Amino acid sequence: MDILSALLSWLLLYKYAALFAIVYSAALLLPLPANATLLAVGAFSNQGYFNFWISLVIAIVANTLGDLTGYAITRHWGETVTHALRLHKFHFFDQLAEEFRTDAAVTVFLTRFTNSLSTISNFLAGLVKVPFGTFFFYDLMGNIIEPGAVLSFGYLVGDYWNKFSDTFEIITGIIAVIVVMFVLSRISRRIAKKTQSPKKSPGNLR
Amino acid sequence: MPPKKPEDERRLIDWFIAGFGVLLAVLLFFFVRQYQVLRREKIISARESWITNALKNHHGTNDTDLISSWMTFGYVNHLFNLPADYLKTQVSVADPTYPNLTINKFSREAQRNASSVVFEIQNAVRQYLANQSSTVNTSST
Repeated sequence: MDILSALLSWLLLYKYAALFAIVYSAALLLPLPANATLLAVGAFSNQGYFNFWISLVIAIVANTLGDLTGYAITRHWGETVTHALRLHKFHFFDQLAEEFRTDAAVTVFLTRFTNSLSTISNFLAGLVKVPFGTFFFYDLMGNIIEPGAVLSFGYLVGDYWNKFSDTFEIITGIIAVIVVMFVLSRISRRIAKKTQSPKKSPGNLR
Repeated sequence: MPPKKPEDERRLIDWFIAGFGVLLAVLLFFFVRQYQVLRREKIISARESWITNALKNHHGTNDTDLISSWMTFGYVNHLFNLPADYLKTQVSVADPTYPNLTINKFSREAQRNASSVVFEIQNAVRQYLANQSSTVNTSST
């Protein structure tokens, strides 16, 4: 029995408690198929076995709490770990931290739509000490839209949700790639600006 | 190790962006292929007509192929509008946790193959649906 089948059985047996546990664990760290699960819950809502709005609220709360846990863990113990792993000695790591801090809002918001990248960005946000308010706000905004979209899609495709599961994974992959390209291009543009500005006005350097 | 020059870093990032561009093209290719498969199987058109008819109350399907071993008896009852104890008697379920019992767990307890249990349930549901429709036909005439 594959992991998704086990999760679906669990969902049917324990309903909202299982939904909360699955979404929370996936948001925190565990590589669980949270989107496929939400797709199924959307379909179950269509069949009247789940309530769409309760499922949506639970998904938003569980996702946000999972993200905040990941953020809190690295915010408190991240530095100890990076020192133990000697990551702070790498220039690239410093650069990444600086870029992430500059682009925190956009990165946190956009990575909500990219499954596994979301977990990584939670940890990074805590590590580079993105302000709690910024992280919470953009995380919540993303978490309202993303599970809402997945549940609605599941609701619309109904009984045949599992036929659309692979398509949905591809769509998530496409979004993830677009997000990474977007963030990288912003970084690239910023580096270009940094390298060009001293040449343009050397007298204006402070 | 001396730090990289910003130009080098930028070039490296541009290479990454180009790489992701290729990955995006590959994913789009698979997406289009998947979409074509779903169109061919008429799943998308079926959903479209469902949406246009739409949002009438669901309640009940008659596609017994949907039944899988991860489902609980309670869910199957709900999906096909079956009476609560119908499957319990048809498949001879003795477990007191019925209907909150998955088909997989029941198969393990009964030391039977899950797919054969699913097949038996599908037949029982088909039989029920056939009886129901014949009752409706008789009462309407």
